[in-house]
Amino acid sequence: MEYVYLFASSVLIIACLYFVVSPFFSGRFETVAASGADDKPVRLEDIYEAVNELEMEYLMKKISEKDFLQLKEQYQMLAVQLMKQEADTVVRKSKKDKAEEQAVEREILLELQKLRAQKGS
Amino acid sequence: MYIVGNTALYAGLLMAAYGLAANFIGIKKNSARWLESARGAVLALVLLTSVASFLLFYLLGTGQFQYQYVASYTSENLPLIYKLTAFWAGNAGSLLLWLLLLCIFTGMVVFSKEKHNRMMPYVSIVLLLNILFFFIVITATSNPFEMTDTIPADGKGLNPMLQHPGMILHPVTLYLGYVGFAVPFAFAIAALILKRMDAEWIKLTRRWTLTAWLFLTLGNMIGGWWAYMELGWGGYWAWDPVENASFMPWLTATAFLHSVMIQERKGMLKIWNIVLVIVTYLLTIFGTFLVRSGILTSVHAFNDGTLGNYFLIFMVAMLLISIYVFITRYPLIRKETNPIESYFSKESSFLLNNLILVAGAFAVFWGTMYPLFSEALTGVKVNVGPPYFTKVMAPIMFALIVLMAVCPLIAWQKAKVKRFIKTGQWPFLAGLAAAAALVAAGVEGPFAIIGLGAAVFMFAVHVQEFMFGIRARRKVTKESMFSAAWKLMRKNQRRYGGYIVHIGVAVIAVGVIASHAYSDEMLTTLEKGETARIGDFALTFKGLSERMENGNGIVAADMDISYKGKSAGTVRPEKIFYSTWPEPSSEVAIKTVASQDLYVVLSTWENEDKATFQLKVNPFVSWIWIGGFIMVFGIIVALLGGKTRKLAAVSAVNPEFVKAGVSK
Repeated sequence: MEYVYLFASSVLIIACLYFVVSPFFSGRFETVAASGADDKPVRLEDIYEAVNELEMEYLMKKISEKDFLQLKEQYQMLAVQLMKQEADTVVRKSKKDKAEEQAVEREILLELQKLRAQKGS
Repeated sequence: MYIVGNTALYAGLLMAAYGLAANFIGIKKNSARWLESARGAVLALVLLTSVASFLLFYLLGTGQFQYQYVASYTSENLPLIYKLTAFWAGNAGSLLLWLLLLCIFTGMVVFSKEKHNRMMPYVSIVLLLNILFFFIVITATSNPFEMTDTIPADGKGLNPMLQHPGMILHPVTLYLGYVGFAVPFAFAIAALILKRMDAEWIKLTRRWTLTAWLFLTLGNMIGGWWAYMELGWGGYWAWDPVENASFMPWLTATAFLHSVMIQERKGMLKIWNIVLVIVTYLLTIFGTFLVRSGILTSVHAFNDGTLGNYFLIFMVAMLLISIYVFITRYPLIRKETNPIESYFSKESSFLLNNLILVAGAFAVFWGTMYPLFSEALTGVKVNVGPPYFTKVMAPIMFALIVLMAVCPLIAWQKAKVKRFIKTGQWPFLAGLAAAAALVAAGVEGPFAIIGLGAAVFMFAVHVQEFMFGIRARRKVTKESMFSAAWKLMRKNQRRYGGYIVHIGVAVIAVGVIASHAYSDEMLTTLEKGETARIGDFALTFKGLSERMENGNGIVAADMDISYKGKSAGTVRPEKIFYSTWPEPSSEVAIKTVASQDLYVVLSTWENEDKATFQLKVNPFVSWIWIGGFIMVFGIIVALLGGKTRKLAAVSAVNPEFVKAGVSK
């Protein structure tokens, strides 16, 4: 009977060793690719949510109409600012894409000219 | 089996040490392999503690008296359920249970979807430090797999007081709460080390904190219920040091749960939150130290001086580590914390609520430790007892109830006193009307009436919040009442779950106040056929009877009950003489009629026709258990729903702060 327990203990130890040793023989890991959750900026969705909450507090009569309108306007301005930022990013990106496209086209034209010149000669 | 059990424990000790080292190396070398290996060590720990626990269950269930632990806490005639729950009846088993839960929680954390988060190796280190400590304690002082010198024919049996359904659940729920708070603590320390002072650690641990709080609440409630049903003194809370030990972290954790909302939404109270989570964690260790050390007298204590020293050393070590990390990061946290802008605002009301909760925790701590302080200063151990706690805690709890009524009325943004008074007038009048009605009905006791009025005020505020919320939603969406109520809850489960918890607290407050102020008690000797009257109840003694059950002798008294002249059934208080225990145990009989508990204890008897009874009428005690259920339901609602807001800044009043957030 003792052998059974010795065997069970050995299995336990081997299993534990496997858990800690196996990462060193696996090809998957290199350096740590850490992630953080709070690196993202404010999204439009967050502002909508805040406005919704504000509206709820107003409807529940916890804030006055004047404060509600004032705060709502502030949030609207923030939303506009955010949308502007997003639009700027899109424009910059499309400009960059266009420039890259033109460079490629130029390169193709040059290659074609070279080929034509080679054929002509 | 001795070999397997000890292999699991000693291999666990090594694995915990290895996991720590692997994490350190992984961080230093920035190596994912080492960090993955450390995670492997955690997995190994889950396996090892599970094997050890399963084995102990098996040994207890099958009555292997060659093991000291089994022989000390079980006996042949003990029902199987209590044989198994003897797992946590003694030091060794309960420490193993703690360790098992800690390993499972650590496994859940390090294998969660956030496993590649930068904080995780540090979180793992803090949790593994705890695990290592418990392995050291178990292997050095409280090994559950220790053998006896000679195999006894039968075990000593389980303490009769622990043979109650409450004791099946109370220790497990309490430990789930205690152990759970190690997780937010570990994240807080990790955030401090990495100098990440945003609300990320709070968001990642929100569910852990709530879950731990849920179990701590459940543990305290079940403990109170057990004391009421089993101890036979007619109360549910005796301000015993060990009860206090679980109440203190509950108070600070409650403060923490509220103040994290302010950090999440407004980027304030960062220092306070860190302090609270550290204090809560340390109080869980302190509670265990109280239970294990035997430095204070308690019905719940395990009394082992050596073990207490280990816990004391560990507690001091963790305190010093926390203080060091906190102080070195203090300027940074201070710099990144937004100051409170207005005295009348949601955040200042939350801060006040926090201060009161912490003051409550300190008052309990002071009263609990006073015998030791007095002994150190004067050489005489002076116990302060329940009168001190009642005197100090009653105004604190009253202030909390009032604040619980006031806080929901204050807007998150642009709070104004005029608006607050306007929205709060009806609930306040409801509280006032309730107090007036009690006076008119001839109820006495000004403090109790004020307290009950405050509870009604708080209850009415929350009902109004639900009603206003539904009305506001219907105004916009034109939904039906039911649909609006359902969607309102679903859309903001955190808030409305919290409100349900508050309603539960109001119900409990009524139970506590009424049972304290209006209970009635008497000790009476009755002959067969005689009737005793207490409150609206009348009890007629019908005689004693004897019987044997599971090898234990039981003496029972049969009594007929009437309430306001009408028959209300029978009760049967008992005295059990356990074959394995020197002291007999009282089985209380309770009859609940119209929210009043008739509490009957069979004290002594001369012969089968003459016995002495302790009788009590406890009004509204059942409300405490109902309130507890409501609280648990509310916590589950808050726990299951409601994503954490991504950015606090959006709902902040300060537009500059919002702009800063946008242009990030």
